[in-house]
Amino acid sequence: MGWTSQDALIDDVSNNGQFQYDVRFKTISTAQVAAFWTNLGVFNGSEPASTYAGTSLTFVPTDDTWADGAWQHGGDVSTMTKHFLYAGANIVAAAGAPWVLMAVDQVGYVPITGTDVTGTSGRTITMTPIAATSAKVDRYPNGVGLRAFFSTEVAPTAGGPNLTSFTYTNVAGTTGKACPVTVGMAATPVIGAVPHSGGAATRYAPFLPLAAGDTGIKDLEAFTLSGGTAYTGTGQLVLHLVKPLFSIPLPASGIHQVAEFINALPNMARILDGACLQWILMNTGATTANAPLMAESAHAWG
Amino acid sequence: MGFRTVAQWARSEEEGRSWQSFFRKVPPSAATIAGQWFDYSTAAGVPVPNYYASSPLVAQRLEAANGIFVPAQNTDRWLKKATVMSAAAGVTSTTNQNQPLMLLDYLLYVPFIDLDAAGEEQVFDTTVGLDRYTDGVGVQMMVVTQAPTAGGGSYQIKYIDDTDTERTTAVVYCPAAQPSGTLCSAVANAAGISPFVPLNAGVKGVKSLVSMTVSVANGGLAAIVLVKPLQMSYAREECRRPTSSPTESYGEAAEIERIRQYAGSVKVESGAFLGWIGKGVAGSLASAPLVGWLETFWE
Repeated sequence: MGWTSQDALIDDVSNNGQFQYDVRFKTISTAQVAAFWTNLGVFNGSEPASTYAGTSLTFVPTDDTWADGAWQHGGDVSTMTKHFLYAGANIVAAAGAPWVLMAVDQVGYVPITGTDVTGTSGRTITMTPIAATSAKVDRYPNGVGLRAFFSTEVAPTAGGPNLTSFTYTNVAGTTGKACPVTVGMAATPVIGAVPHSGGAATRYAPFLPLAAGDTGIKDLEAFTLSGGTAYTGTGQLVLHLVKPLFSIPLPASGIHQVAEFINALPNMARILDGACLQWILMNTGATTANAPLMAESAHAWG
Repeated sequence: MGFRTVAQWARSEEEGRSWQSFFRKVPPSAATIAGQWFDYSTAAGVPVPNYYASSPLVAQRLEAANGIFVPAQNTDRWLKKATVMSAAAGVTSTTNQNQPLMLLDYLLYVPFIDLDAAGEEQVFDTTVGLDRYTDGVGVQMMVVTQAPTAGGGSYQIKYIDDTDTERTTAVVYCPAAQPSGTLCSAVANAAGISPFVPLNAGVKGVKSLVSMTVSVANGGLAAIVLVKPLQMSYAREECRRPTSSPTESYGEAAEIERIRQYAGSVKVESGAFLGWIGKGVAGSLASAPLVGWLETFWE
């Protein structure tokens, strides 16, 4: 399904009620660091702050019924398809601009706690590989288009190791595929921060690079935080598995920037049944504590 | 090969064959002069600064991973979209507005040329040559300062053109005193600043470098960099919000989308080192971060 003409889209939006407008909020309650990306899921707003609960190193699937709070985008519409028509956002903060706001569909996450944060040996992740069934966790068949990134739920005390190994199964089912570069992690990433972002060498963000030719991640297999300085303290990291949907540039505090998806190419990012919509943010400067984010969007299905 | 249809283009997103590469480059605090081009690859930030640091007068390539990172692929990669924002150096700074920008593939460089060595032909070791755009067509030369200059100098460059003919440029003038990271070429003394060294009549590009002879001492050090321009952009308004009246917000994001706004696309060659140069039309670009992202896809 989908639309074959703008007339069909207009008819569904204006006559058939297949349209939803949303306004979402987040308060970035902890000051962020210049050049870092931030997972806004850790902050309160329209959806409550997530604690990313679960057993360390065990994958937790997420969809629009996620108890921590997911954006309610109108439920399942299959065999129709649901698409973003436009989205806009602004942030008001004394510092931090310009920003880039990215919407992602989080398929799941892996909590990482205790010695799995501080340890320097390989850590194996328990996860049922993404398949191609009608289950919500398989909404991107075999993981096509999925990307991974770490974020900080509780800041480690100190450290700054390297991610010397990150392995996954690709969409074709080939196991043991590896991130082709060594990735540096920040010493004390603040809550929300993507620890492999920032302005230092060997930082890659927001997503971990995949091996040449790979189009997604079917299974998160293992990672090793070694070299550099091992993390200390009682930090908690989260490894997210997401599909990037769209990005909005936010030039300055208080400027509401709207991205239009009908005429732009590639257009109208799809919201799959079960999509768990989340936000991540790139901070050019150090975003001030308690900065409010307001985002609006409209989507339709047909 | 290349993509043939809009559907093929659009499907790249759903099929996971696309990547967003973010950058945030912060020029140093030394003021650049109005009308002057600045090489953002030399600035701090993401990706890490490129200092053109290798053996003097020996040609060297840059590593793709140190430029704006676009993952290596086994098939051709194409530019889909570029978004740039230029943040002001301070809440009342406006000199980074109306800034033309150019996305380049940095191919090869010869570092640490002495801009004070008047009358001496500084001959280069060009054992290492181009590994992309090897016919030289479309390849341009830019002279990037590696140390502050005094200004007022001039030079000529010998190079091999796209027909394998050795050429010598007309006299190229240096702008007034410049900090590191700025482009040091003008078509008239201290004026008419050009990002690239003008080539001889009929020449389509540069295949390799031979030497530089400084006619009038300019002070400072420089690298000659061979680049392939890929795309222009234009940051019209600086991003800032004053803290005293008028507390209005200023700023915009310049978005260039291939196909819809520009015919066709630009191929990102294997091993490409991507970076931006920008022109401070309204004044200094010092401490004004350039922020944004490139969207690429592969076949």
